[in-house]
Amino acid sequence: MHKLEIHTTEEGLARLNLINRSHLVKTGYYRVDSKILSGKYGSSLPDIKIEAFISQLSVDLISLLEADDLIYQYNLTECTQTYLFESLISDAEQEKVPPAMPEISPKGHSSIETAPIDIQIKALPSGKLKLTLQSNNTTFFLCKVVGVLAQNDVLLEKAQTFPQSDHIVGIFVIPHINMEQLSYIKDQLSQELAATQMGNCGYKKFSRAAISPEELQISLDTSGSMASLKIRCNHNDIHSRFAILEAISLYDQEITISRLGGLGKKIEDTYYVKPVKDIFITNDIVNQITKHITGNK
Amino acid sequence: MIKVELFISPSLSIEKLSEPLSQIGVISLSSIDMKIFGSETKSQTSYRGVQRSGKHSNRTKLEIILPSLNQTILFKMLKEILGPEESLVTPVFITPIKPVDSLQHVAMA
Repeated sequence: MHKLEIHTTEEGLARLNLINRSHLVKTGYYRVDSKILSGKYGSSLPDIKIEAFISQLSVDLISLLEADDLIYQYNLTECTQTYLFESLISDAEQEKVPPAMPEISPKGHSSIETAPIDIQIKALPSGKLKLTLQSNNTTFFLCKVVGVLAQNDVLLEKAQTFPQSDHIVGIFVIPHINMEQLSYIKDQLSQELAATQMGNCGYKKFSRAAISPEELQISLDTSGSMASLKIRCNHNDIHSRFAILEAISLYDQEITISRLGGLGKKIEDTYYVKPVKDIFITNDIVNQITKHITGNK
Repeated sequence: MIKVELFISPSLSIEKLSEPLSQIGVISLSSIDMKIFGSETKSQTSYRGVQRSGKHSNRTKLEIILPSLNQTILFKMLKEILGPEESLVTPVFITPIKPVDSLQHVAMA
């Protein structure tokens, strides 16, 4: 069960067509007067906030939320559902509610023995390819996928990852490539995502992309329920993104929710990070990550 | 610590809830009026003798934050306040939350 909170407008609500979507347990909305002081949406918007409880997240709904300009912001939280008539819960059953952390907890380096994955490939009308990957091994999922693509000289154009039940789902948009190369990438992804450690495909050689300190800006936001890193990089070659993600993983920060974008030579990504070993991210760690990426000791 | 969310009839006064809930360790109780939509939540209204079906129904959403150990007693109390019929059809959503010491948070940043 997930709680989905969406900040949008009346038109955005109509476009989402939530009323006809399956897996909705409860959905409602209320009006909010929001004043966004900066950013592209201007100020003083008569908006609405939607709160939906969904038994199963669908990839197309998340894609829609990502693509629609009228969706100003959305947030996903894992929760459980019960009924009041089931209220006489035994103490043992109560303990089933996890003690903390709303989203999927990061998995340890050696906590998973097997990791079945599901890879779907769809050709988009633009000629590009959309890869949808599901894995129950969340450990450095995004970093591994981006590494395999970089290893095969494939430039990632857009992506997003999010937790779904006990899995992680990633949607990746890449340029068109031939079937032979695609098949090879699929095999590598299966192998890499099944591993509990990083770096079985030999992509360590990309760990120093030629990103200068002037080209990279990383800002940390700890105001939400999860810390997020906003990455702005004016250097986008095949290996840049992997260099950034690898540096974050080296400091034992795991990414389960992410949005990767940018235009042309620019990277504009947001990563929601969680510590793997109870070391929460701070500005000091962000500075060290920045220095690691740029090679600026 | 958990956050319990449920949707109740807007006719139920939050004042009626706040007193008993404060006695069982509820840290925070807040409410918001929401329009609920979906195939099962259409409201029926009568205008000049004609029955009309609305697209939405109005409900009040309660957000209750309390220690997870007090969940059972909270449910028991809500069941008494809402009555057996309402309790049968009221889904409750539980989100585990982690309190953050604001001073510690600032120090870390």
